[in-house]
Amino acid sequence: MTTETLPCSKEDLVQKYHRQIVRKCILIAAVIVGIVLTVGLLSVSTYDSISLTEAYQVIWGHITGVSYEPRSNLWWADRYIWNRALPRAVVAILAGASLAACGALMQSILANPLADPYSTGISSGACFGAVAAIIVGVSYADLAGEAGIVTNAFIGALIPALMIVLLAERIHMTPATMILIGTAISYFFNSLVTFMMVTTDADTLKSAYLWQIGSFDGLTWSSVPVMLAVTVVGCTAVLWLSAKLNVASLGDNTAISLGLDIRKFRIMCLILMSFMTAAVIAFTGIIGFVGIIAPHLVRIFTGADNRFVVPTSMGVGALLLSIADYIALSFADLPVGVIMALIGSPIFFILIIWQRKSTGAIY
Amino acid sequence: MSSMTKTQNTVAAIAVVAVIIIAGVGIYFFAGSHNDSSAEKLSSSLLVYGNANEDLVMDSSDTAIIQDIIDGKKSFADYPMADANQDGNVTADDLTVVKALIAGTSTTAYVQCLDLSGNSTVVAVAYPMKNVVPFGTNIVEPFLYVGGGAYTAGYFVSSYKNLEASMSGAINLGGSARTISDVAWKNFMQLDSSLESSGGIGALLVDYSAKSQITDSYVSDLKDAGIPVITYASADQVQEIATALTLGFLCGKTTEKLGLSYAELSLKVYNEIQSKVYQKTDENKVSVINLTMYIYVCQNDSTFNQSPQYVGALCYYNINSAFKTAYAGSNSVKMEATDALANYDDADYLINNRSLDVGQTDIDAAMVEIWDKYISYFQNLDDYKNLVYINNLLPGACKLAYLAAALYPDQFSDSWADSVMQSFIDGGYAPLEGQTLSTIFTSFDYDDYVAAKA
Repeated sequence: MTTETLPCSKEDLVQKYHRQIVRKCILIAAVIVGIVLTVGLLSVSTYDSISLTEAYQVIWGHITGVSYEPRSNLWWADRYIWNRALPRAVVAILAGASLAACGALMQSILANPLADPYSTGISSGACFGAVAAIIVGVSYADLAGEAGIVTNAFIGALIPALMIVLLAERIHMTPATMILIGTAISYFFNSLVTFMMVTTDADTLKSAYLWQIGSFDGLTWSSVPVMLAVTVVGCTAVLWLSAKLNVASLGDNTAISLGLDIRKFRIMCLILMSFMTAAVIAFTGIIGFVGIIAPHLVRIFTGADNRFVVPTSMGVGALLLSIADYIALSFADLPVGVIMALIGSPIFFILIIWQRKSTGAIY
Repeated sequence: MSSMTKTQNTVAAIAVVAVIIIAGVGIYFFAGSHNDSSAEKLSSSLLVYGNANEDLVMDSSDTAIIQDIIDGKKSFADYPMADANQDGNVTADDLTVVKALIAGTSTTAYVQCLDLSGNSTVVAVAYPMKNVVPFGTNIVEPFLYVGGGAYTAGYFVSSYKNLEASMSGAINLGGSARTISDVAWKNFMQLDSSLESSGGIGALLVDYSAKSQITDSYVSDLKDAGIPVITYASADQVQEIATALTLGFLCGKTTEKLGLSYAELSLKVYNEIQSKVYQKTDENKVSVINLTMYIYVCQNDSTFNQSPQYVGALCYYNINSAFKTAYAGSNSVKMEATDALANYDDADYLINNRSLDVGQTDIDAAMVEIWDKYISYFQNLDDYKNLVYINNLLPGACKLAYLAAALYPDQFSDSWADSVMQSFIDGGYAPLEGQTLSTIFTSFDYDDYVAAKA
């Protein structure tokens, strides 16, 4: 019996493993600290007559039931931060986590580094629903105002997914086919949206256009429950599926040979992703780049194992969107979707240039 | 394959059901009421409880009535405004409150006004009122006319630099004349906390036509902070009289005098108009389509549609059922195209209510610019030469005077309307101080436009 010589020593392997663990821990710690810091900065940014420390005191005080002298500075700060800043922060965390998880999911099941939650036409379906509510006043649930827009956007977002599911039984559904169908659906809905927008007046056109950009303005705690419920359930499901995502990302033939019903799995992931994305963009509009870049950033530190990529992407996505919202609110007075695009596109460009297999790139 | 088909059908069916459930949850969480109601009409008197005889002043005749009620000589039911402290009874405590209001000493005044749904309500406010924040053109202006600028702590952007100069010492909270942004509201909160030592913001005055900007979240803040919200539908010129009178009273003796003179002058003009038009029947009344902000058509129940009725005219929706159907509601609707009124060109007059600052240096040029700006929406109408612009920032009685002169020139002359305007200029009302008839945009029609262009 001979002993094979390893390419590196056992001690080197152990050290390399420990370094990987440390990197992952540092990344997770940085994400958590970053999110906590961003929430504080966002609070101070929105109510600027208190310090960062006071902002945390106010938030913690609200949670623990501390009360202040009515109409004092801290009393008003408590109300404003809790009713306006924190809903934004929570939505940013939920939306970022959800979109990033969906991005990791899509990139694995479609084996495509450019895949994101909108690859199957979800965003265009949501746009169509929302714009129909804004411009034409047509609502699925006969609701007026904001409720009508949200409901329309949610249901509209699910239509492309339903179409793909129904088509899947008629045609051979590969990742490329899915993306092509999504593209076709996008073009169709986008043409309807364009038609509605060119026939309306300037004020309504502006409202419709701003919805598409993606914004957290006007979001309150009432926007949170549906998003929270769907995000928690959806992210839990994605985490549970993360091992199978590793199998799926190996390609159809390999996945089948390892016992995974890839077609059924892909459809199930699509439906899950559709609900998660719809629950976010119905309230916020279309926020791009989070779903694409968060998983890629994470893979630099964790490698391509989805058991680590998925949960870490959620954290990084939440952090990225929180930072974008802070910048949007504090410095730019622009919708968060614009800032996210301005931040995301250079990052994505750099990732593409510096990609290599050793850093977990999947392309 | 068949099991795959069955599975996918099941998946699709589950997805559809889930969508319906989630949509239902969404509806449960997000369905809200959509209140587009018109405002209740309040009387044209001093709308402060304690004004037992519901006239323009609070004086010894009110204390006499209250005393008579206490003594059993008069019935509380006949004098509902006698309950000055709103405790449901008329007692010596009410006398104490009324005496304090008459003397101008500190007390709590109970004000009859509107709530944000347009229903009559009662609001308690510290008297004399100070550190006021007004919102909405139709309440800012009457408040400033009676000297309220000196009691204004903050405002949500001033759109009319000259007319609103009297509140320039107050803090600009941001937002706009028609919106209160979150940032503006944050500034409002910080203003209140900065005034903590002097009791905080005394009241938020709200123009009923701008009520949609006071969101449920802001209402909750105001309620928890105990900041009174006084709402009036002052786009109605007769309601404006009560608004100016009441707000002037609430800020103390100086503004009370101005409010009273403003109300008396306004009622004199209103009564003069009424005396000449009250006998008109529908057959000899002219019909009017009201517009605002150039190209917004006032819906049937809009407060702007009260003014034609005050001068003996008919709102067009009363004679055209198609128009009535198309413009049901209490707000205003933007004209989507230049032919939006093409089917309604048999109205006798188009009255365009437009807010224009005082202190104009070249009224003719302004007149030509205003007329030309949106004439494409009107020039194809048969009645476009009967388009009349009236400045929405004028005192209500002046608006009625110019409207009467435009609609019934044989009964009300332009010079009479100008004399009404001059009376207000001479009345000592801060926004009009230093102004003349040649620096104030009052009203103009096609003939004035042609003359100006020449």
